[in-house]
Amino acid sequence: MTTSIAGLTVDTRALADGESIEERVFATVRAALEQAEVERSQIDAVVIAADDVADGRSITTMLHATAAGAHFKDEIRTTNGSLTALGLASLRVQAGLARQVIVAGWWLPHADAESIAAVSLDAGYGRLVAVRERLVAAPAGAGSAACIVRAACAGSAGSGDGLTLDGFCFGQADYHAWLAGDGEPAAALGRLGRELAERCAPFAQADTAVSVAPGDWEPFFDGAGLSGARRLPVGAAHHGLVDGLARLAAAQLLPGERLVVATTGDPAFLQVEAVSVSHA
Amino acid sequence: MRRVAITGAGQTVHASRRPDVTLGELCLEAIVPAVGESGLAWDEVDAVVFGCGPDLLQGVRNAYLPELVPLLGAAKPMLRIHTGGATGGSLFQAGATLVASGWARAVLVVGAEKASEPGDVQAVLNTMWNPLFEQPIGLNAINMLALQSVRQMHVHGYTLEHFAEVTAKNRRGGVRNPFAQLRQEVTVAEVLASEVIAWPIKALECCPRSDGACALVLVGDELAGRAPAPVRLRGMAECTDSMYIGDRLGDSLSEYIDATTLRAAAHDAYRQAGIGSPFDEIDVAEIYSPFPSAEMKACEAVGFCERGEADRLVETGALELGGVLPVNPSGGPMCANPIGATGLVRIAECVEQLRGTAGAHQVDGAARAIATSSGGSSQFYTVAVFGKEAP
Repeated sequence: MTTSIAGLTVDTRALADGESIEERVFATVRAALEQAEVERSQIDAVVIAADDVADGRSITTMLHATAAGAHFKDEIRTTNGSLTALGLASLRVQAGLARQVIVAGWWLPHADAESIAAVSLDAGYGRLVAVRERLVAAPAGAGSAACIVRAACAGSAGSGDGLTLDGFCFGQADYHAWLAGDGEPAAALGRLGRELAERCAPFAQADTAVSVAPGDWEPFFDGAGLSGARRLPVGAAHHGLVDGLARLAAAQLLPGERLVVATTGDPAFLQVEAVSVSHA
Repeated sequence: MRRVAITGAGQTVHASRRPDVTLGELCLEAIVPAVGESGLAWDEVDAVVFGCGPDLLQGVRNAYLPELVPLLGAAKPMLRIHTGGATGGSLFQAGATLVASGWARAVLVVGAEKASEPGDVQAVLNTMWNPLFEQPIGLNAINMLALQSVRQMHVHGYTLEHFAEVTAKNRRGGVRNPFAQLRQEVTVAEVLASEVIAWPIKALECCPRSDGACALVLVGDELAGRAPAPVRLRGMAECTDSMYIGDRLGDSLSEYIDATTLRAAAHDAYRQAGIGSPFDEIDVAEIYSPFPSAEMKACEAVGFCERGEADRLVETGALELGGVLPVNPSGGPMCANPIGATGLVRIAECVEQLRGTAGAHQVDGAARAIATSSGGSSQFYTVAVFGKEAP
């Protein structure tokens, strides 16, 4: 079963003075529902990408899951990244566990990216030896994002339907190699590219556009067999957990092109994720 | 939906402190037997789904990166799930989704906790509430459940003795369970005489703080035959409520002491499993109940009795090992509560029961089992129903 993405809504502003995460998440999800022409009552499940440390809470979804539309809904949260949440939502539809799923993510940190990234390292060794410049691999951005995932064949397609999900994958760097600067995250990006290629229909390089986060993604291009594909502008900032959906929303495709998005869910590039989508 | 089977289950001996191992090493103690039972080679496992409780308990964000990746290797994709106390149940649901959708053939699901690491667990848990309204009053997991107990006493007429009876029953289960942390029997009189922590909750009614881990191997039909006695998933569901306990009192959509979202999740899981009369059709239950009032509430919500009638189940001994419908024969979370693994331990216990390998706490002839998990302010609930036979 193929799944489609509708109502993709991204807001890459940091929180304004006096604005709460709860208010931003609510506004983003509501906009996604409206764009997809779906009522919350038609939603079966919610998949969230959010990070406790960034939000300064021990369980951030306690307060924010309901703002994301999860009240009385099946709800689950990953900390990998928004593309992984998108993929998990798609699998819930494919497995017959849900018909329409909200994907919601936010990265609206109350601390600087370097501090958050440093907490990803073990206290006894990693935080002492990590090269500070590598803790934040790209200028830090922020944002919230939401969309609706549903079966592509559902008769209720709204005006927001535009993309179908071809495949997704996720992975991570070898932690100790990353600390040592020994081939990571390059190796992780290579694995990610190879796995995406295995999980998707063969890429035609001439008809594929690729959007990646800032940094050296050549191992990904090589792994996926996309070295000759059209490369979309990288942009200056990395938007944390919602970077993937932000790139998906920003991509300008040519007619007939497939889109591959690859990024990382954390500032240090320890977690990596990728999707391939096509026009519906 | 592809059918999902559990072909491997492992858990650690749960303890108040395991300073001899790291979180990752603790996980390995559960992973090695689980993968071994499954009959799979490590290369045949397509992905790992990992969960622990709040990052602030470990002091590390996404602890699997420094803890588990170095031990399991970076080649397998690892998915981290976090839904508070419900994490164990949500881990299972995420892993089952990967298999049921066909994305993976075999998934290793791992939950773990080292709750001994932070100095004050309840201080950490206080940060999960709203910073303006609830954190300042000092709300934590114990007094949150005390509010529930008081309301049950007020609305349903449950008594301190009912709570003490549930505690004594679970502690007898802990004595029979070699993996339990609390393995000393206590009497109703001892429970009632123990120190009040947050009225009406007594010291002996509080779940322990635990270090521990649990692992399951989930596979599709094509690999289920590798293990001698695969346990089959029959139905699963999750449901989320408002964080605010005040939103769940009186005439609101849900009621705090009814566990309305657990009721909804159970209804959905039973529908998938074809179960119409849970009390008659379920043979054993492993309920996420770190306090006795939570067990009584859950028994109502999963349909073992009508609203407000869990006291009858307690008084008649129905929930005892050897009773009509044994609940938490392992001792449940009241005898071991490694937060990020507790929900998964419930499922591992169901697996042992359905295989007939639960040892001294085996329920004779168990063929259908239910496992639940609960998280947040009793707002996240998961339910999974299992059977010996494929659906």
